[in-house]
Amino acid sequence: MSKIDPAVRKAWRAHPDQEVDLIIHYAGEVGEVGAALAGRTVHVKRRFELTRTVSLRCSAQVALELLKEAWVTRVEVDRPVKALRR
Amino acid sequence: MYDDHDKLTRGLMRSLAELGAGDGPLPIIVRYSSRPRVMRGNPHPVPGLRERYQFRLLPFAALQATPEVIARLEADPRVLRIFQDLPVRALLDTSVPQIGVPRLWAEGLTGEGIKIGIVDSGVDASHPDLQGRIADVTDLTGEGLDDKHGHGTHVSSVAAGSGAASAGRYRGAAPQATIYSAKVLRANGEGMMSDVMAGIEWAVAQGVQVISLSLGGTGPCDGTDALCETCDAAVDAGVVLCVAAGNDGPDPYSVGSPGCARKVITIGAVNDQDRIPDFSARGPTADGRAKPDLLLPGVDIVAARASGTSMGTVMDQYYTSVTGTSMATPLAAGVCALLLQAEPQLQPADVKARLMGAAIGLGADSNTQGAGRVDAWRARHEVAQPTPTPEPAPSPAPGRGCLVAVSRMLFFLRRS
Repeated sequence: MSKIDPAVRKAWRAHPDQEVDLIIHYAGEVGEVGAALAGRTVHVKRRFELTRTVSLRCSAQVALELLKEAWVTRVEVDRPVKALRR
Repeated sequence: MYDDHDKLTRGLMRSLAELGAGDGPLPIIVRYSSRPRVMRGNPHPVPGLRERYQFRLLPFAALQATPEVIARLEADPRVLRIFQDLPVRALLDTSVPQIGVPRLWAEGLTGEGIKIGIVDSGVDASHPDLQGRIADVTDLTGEGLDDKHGHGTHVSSVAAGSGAASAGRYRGAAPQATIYSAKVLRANGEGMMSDVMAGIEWAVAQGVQVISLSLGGTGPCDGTDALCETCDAAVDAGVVLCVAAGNDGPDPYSVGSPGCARKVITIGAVNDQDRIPDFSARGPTADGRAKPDLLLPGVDIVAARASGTSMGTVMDQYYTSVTGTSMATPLAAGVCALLLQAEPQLQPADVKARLMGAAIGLGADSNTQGAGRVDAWRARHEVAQPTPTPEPAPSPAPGRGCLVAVSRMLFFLRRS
């Protein structure tokens, strides 16, 4: 299974300097993930407890590098939601 | 009976007098002396007259007519009376009884002792209907705690408002439940998935038994995104999650995330006549599961208006009328609170099974109605397994230009 939607990967390659908001699914412990992210130019926004995910902001170039990490199992774009009134 | 001068109601005469040049036709209801001949499919349409609905029990017809046509109808000896067709609203005082909640109140079930998490745009804790109901709040948007949109206050009162500003008329489903409000939507009614995930985690950490999520993205989805996973994990942690199906119906595959999550109770809408509005999102999910799970009233729901906001159709200082699966969802959360007060040992899957097993089928397929419209009293007293619903009609795959069915529902004809 691909770690990222191919269309998103393509967009990141085309615009590597673009800032992106992501949700990273990971394997392992959150402490290890924190250590792995510490050396990178990322802004970790939230660490979640119910699922093995973190939300962060980084450049598309950094996002492409994260995809190569073994502990990263899947990456989603942090998408908008809205109130469901008409 | 009526003479010719009495045929037009005063309200209709007033509206006709106020019509300006170029104004469109008026919605009217005509009472005939006997059943009018079938209008639909009339090969000789009358200019200025549009047929909307012919009633079966009485010789009435709903029409859209210009003043000139109304004058001709008035002169027609077969016409007894002409009324203006006026908008109606499903107030909480009608939508709550529609699902059998007052019968549970009469048994002492009011949600007391149950914590409901509202993950939305915040809450106006100063609203009279919510006095003493808000146990804790948090802001995950960075915008401040105030509900600057109004959505969160409205849905909070649908779930657990006391109706204090309306002498109890607009009381929520579980008026003695306590609310834990996580603000994840900004003043424009929008937020990010990750903020919603954080809001759910916060509510779970507060020990809520029920969470109401009247928000989401666009469909289709398969229930595997991080927000859906968070919802399912919260259910695994023992919390009942009621999630709005969305308002992108009637196309199939229109349930978005997190409505497509596997373990949540996904809520669509009905109006006060138990008709399913076009907007209520339809399944299946992208991976072929039937959604929504249940329907509750969600059309023109009058409930609390946050101070300084104008969302919906403002009724007065304290109330506003809003439509959407957003409004049906906290009603479901309130019903869940009543069931959990009665039987605290129920697990989330039990609550879902109870509600689905007791739901009133409306004759639609499972991707339109789920198990049907909620009946809270039956869910409490008639323990039943989910009833089979008609198989969904074959649906085109998403992205193929799905056909949008033309609604024949009176509700929408009235709005056209």
